[in-house]
Amino acid sequence: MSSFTEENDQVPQMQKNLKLLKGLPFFSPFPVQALKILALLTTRGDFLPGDLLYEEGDDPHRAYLILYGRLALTAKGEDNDPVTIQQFRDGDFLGSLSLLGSMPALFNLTSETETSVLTLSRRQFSKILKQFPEVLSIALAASLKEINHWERKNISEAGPCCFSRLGITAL
Amino acid sequence: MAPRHNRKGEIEEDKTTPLVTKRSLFYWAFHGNLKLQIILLFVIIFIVFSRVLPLEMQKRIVNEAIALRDVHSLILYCGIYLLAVTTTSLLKLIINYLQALIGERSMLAMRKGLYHHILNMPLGFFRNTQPGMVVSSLMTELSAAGTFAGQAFAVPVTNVLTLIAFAGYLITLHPRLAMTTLLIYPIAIFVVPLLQKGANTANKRRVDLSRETSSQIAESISGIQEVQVHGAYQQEDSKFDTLVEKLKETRIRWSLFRFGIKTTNNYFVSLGPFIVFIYGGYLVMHGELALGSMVAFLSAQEKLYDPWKELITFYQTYQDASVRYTRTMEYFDTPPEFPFEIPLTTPQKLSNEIEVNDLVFQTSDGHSLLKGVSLSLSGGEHLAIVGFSGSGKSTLIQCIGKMYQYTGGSITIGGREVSSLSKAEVIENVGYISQNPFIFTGSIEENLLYAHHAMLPASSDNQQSTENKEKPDLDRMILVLQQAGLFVDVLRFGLDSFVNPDDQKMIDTIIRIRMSFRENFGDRMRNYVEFFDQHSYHLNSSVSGNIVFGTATNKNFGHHLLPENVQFKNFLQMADLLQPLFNLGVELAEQAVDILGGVDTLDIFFENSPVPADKLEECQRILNHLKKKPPSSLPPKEQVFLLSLALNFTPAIHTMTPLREDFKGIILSARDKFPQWCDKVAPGLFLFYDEKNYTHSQSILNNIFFGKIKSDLAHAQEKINQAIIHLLIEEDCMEQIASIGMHFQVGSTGDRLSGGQRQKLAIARVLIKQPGVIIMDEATSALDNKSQTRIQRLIETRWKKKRTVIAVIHRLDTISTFDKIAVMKAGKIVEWGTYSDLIDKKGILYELIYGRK
Repeated sequence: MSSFTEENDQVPQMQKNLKLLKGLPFFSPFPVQALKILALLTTRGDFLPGDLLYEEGDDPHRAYLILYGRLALTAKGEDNDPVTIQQFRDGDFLGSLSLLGSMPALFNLTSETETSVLTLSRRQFSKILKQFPEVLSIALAASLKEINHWERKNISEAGPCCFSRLGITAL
Repeated sequence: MAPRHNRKGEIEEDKTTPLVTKRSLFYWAFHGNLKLQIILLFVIIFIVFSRVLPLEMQKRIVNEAIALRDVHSLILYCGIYLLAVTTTSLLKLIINYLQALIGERSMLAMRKGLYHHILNMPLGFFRNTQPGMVVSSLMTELSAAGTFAGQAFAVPVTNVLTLIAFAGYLITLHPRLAMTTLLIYPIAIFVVPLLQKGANTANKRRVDLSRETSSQIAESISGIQEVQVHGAYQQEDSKFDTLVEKLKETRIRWSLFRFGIKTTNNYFVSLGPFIVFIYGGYLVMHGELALGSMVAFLSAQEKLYDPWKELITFYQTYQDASVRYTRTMEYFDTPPEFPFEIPLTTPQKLSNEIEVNDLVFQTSDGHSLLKGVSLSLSGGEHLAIVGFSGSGKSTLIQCIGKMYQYTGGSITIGGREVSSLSKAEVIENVGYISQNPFIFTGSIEENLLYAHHAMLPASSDNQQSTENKEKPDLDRMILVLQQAGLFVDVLRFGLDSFVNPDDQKMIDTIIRIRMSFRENFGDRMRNYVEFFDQHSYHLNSSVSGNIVFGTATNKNFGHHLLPENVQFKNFLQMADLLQPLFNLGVELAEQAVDILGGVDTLDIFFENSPVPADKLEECQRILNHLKKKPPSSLPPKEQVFLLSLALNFTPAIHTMTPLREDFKGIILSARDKFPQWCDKVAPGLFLFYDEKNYTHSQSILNNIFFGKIKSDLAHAQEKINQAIIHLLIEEDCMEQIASIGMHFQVGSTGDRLSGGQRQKLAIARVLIKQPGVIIMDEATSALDNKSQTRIQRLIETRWKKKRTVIAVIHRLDTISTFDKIAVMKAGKIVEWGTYSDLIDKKGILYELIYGRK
């Protein structure tokens, strides 16, 4: 933690967190006080290469913002070998759906390098929803936009062979 | 059939005595108390005699001693009078004591009997019964019955005898006058019961309403989370208000009748002297009655009130107790479905094959939950039951575990019909793990051995000796905890405990572990643990922690008391810290008000706030004050408050305010000065952190760390656990730590354990019993993936072919390892076979797993 505080000694950690949250599309439209409290509640987590953040079947119940490092989402492939599905790097934010509700993870999340994250739990987020009810619709809108964006990307990138797997936005 | 309870011999019943709820109120007063009641009778006869004697003495003092100026007789009669009065008081005390003794004994027997009966009542009964109602029945309503039982014999006998004695005495004095005054009583006897009838009706209603109200309170309090989450305060208020208002009205009506009886009675009784004056006066004037006799008559007449009043009160107590008693007993008047007898010998082990034939279960209102289920499992076979909710899965396994009585068909375990097995035999042979297991207040160990203890033969009289004997050894308990996946948690509880200060060997071991932890894991753990270092600021400790850098040996110098400690304040002054700390306090208050002002006082928001939720307003007030006036004008109490904010400031937690370099510097130099100052003021007041010394005020874990844990994230905990376990094994003290952890108090209903831990404890509880048949009702649903896999492996590797397993399973990805799968729908098994058969068949199971095509 010391390296983080020494960067700029006079700026409180919470203010740094606040700035990071404001930079994320999911959080930026939130009311200022909600953001401030979230910035106060988020905690730092440090991972070594190979550390498991969650595994298939777990309820991840957390969202992560990567400060530096690399996380990999993997699935069990043939012969149970892990197959990397996606990698996340500095500045990536993942797990917003986990904040909204419980859902068993379909993948494993592991750190590939020394990684530092800012993390928020669903327990904390749900209290924010309770205190600031307007946050729910903002968060939902952000999630829907993200899902829509994601499928749009898949449509343009996936070959016709895989079209049968699309259509999540029509659910 | 009545239960036999032979622990203390107080409730010894055989099969001919009626159900506890069928007994009359008088049963309790006399059963087992006969000797006491007879002693009481003798004391009563004495007291009646010693009550009448003073009256005769009174008459003789006036008529013989005073009238004839006989001093000798005066002294004699007064002496007898005094003796009689003293004896009466003493005997009264003895009677009261005996009454209390009988009352308490009967109440004890009643409570024990009823409680035992309630524990044995059918499960269905408790679906509609709130715990609060049972509590109020046992504790409040029965107490009236107990009081009555103490009086049941003594009061009527004493008072009727006294009444007869006084009346007889009155008649000997003057028959005509006596008969006239005694005329009052028959009138009272006629009127009082009329009023009592009204009182009883109100009382019955009151008992019912009190019961309803207790249930209502219990329900709201048990569901308080829902109430608050949905903000349903109004609904709950109005339910409660309606009930208590009705209760109020009923109680007023009841009181009115009760006092009505008292007043009416008093009125009649006070007519007595009136008759004596008018009629007796007339007789004296005409020389038909001596004045002394009239005085004696008046006294005796007055003495009639007491026994009479007591009789009326007794009558009321009887009516009240009998209403409460009957109402309570009627409510619980359902015979147990499967009476449990504490086994005199260990029940027989059955072989573990299971046959179910055409099983039918109907609820009392005619719903069929099971409509002819048949299955067959050989010993050690594993069956997974899946299906839609409401399909009868749980009902089926609960029938097999004899928790409900099936209404048709048959179930056999080891060839014996379940309905013919005693409850004890079922408990011995079948382990049941429910979805929401109940954990009892007590330690991990007590909970672990809960089922085990219950099965011990009740040969000895008290529980303590049962606890000491036949306790499974530590290795076995550890093995079971490991199998259930709870061992690491227990180890952690042990590590979070404190060492007995006299256990020097343990302390030395921990210091050794500390050294090797730093040496072998120091670098790798730097991300998770912040070690203490004399020369650097400790970010996970408070400002006062950083200054003192040790622990106080005197309670008055505890960290939370330092802000108001004058001596400590002097030190701060000397170290030039007061002003910077005051500024920091103001800054923290400002930040907290800015960020958290106006939000609900949810604890979670304030976890990282230096200002507790209930102090936010005070901060606001102080800040307003400081805007207008200089800091020196602040009252001392508020200055102390600001100082306490600053001294509690912990940079790693209270991230809203930065830790400035210059501030860090002055704190570190204050830390260097502090020991010298201490030596001057009070040597030995603080024990400073030293890598070679054990810190008794800290947990074992913190002593190993010699620092504080930084992160509460799961992976950090796991890494720390791995490292510590490694070292514990190396130092060969893992068992010791585990046994300390086993004494961890789980809190009321286990609320200090997580859902997963509770479930694992319930699994371990059954494992230690080693039953031949294990029934699991979604028993792993609260577990995380890893723990679930562990249990899964345990079932597969250790139980296959040894223990018969029937598991209701919700998560379909775990069923492929079971020998047989049953798919249930609407009370029937609609598919049966091995996993691969059913998947190949592409029937209902296939659909459940892969969705509809």
